[in-house]
Amino acid sequence: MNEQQFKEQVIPLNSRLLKIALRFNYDIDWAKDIVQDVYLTLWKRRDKLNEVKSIEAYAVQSIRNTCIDRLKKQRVMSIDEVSIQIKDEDSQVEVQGEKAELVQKIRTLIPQLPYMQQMAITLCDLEQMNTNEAAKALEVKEGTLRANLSRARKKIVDKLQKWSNFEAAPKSQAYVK
Amino acid sequence: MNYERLNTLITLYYTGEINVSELNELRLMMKSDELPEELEYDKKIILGLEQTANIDVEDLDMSSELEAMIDAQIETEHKRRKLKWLKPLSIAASVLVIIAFSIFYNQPVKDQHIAQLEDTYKTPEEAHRAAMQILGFVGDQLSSGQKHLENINQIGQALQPVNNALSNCQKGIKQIKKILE
Repeated sequence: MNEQQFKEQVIPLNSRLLKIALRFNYDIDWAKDIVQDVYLTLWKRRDKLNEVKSIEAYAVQSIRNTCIDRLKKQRVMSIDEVSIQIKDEDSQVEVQGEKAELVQKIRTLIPQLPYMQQMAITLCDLEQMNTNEAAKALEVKEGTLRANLSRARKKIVDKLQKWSNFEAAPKSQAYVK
Repeated sequence: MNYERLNTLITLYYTGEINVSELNELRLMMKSDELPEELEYDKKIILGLEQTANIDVEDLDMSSELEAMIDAQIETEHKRRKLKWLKPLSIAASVLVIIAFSIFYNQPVKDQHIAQLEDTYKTPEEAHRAAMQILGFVGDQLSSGQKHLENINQIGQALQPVNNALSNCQKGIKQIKKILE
């Protein structure tokens, strides 16, 4: 793949890749950095891109893997550091619309989960991957992924309940118990 | 609405066993106006996560900065490619210079060596004759040199009386000096 082909076929995918990166960590600087890293890798492997069936699928897979690797490295950071990173409002994309408050809250809650739960909910709920695909991406057994996904969903429900002070108890509590 | 199916899907959702198509089905059911009030909270979490996935990044197009990054990368690659050739070329040039010098300095020595080893005569008899001739010549020169040495001896003998006379004169001068003192 030459320079012109790369600019015509791969560069326009950047919005989709940025969107995926933001699902993993809702920090625009972090996501942009990931996208740049992935593009640099794709450029270095441009000769192999001709052999790939779908460049878009390959790029999506690359950005998911890069996000997973980066977050795996970041998990050595303390919880405080992660929280500071999330609260940095300047680097976040502004959320608009009537559901903005709820979405913003969920975006704050996901990074506070343990790494595997965070990855499970990101891949299955946000990236809409099947549990077996997500398990493969995270290199864990499907059962482990399901257990983490279950815990993650219950934790978010629980935290949202505390945050919202809903009068009606959520149905999920029956399963939590 | 099929409430039995809805309950099954919610159960599968919280146990982590729901697949993508079932999740989409659940989300669709959650959007219904007929949803029981007690599920309002589940609706918020399930649809809230769906909305969280929808990120509007139209304003965040990175095309120009990515193109600039690729251009910079191309430039760096060109420079590296030039340097890549320069290094082996400089090494090759240095090796050539060393080889040239060694050939230049070794060539005369090699020629001399060959000249020394080459035979002048085709047969041993011819070489023997030539050697005898040279030895004869050296012998003649030696004997004529010795004849010259004999002449020098004769001169020495002829000068002997003169030397004796001079020594007598020196004795006489010494005696005169003593008398005068």
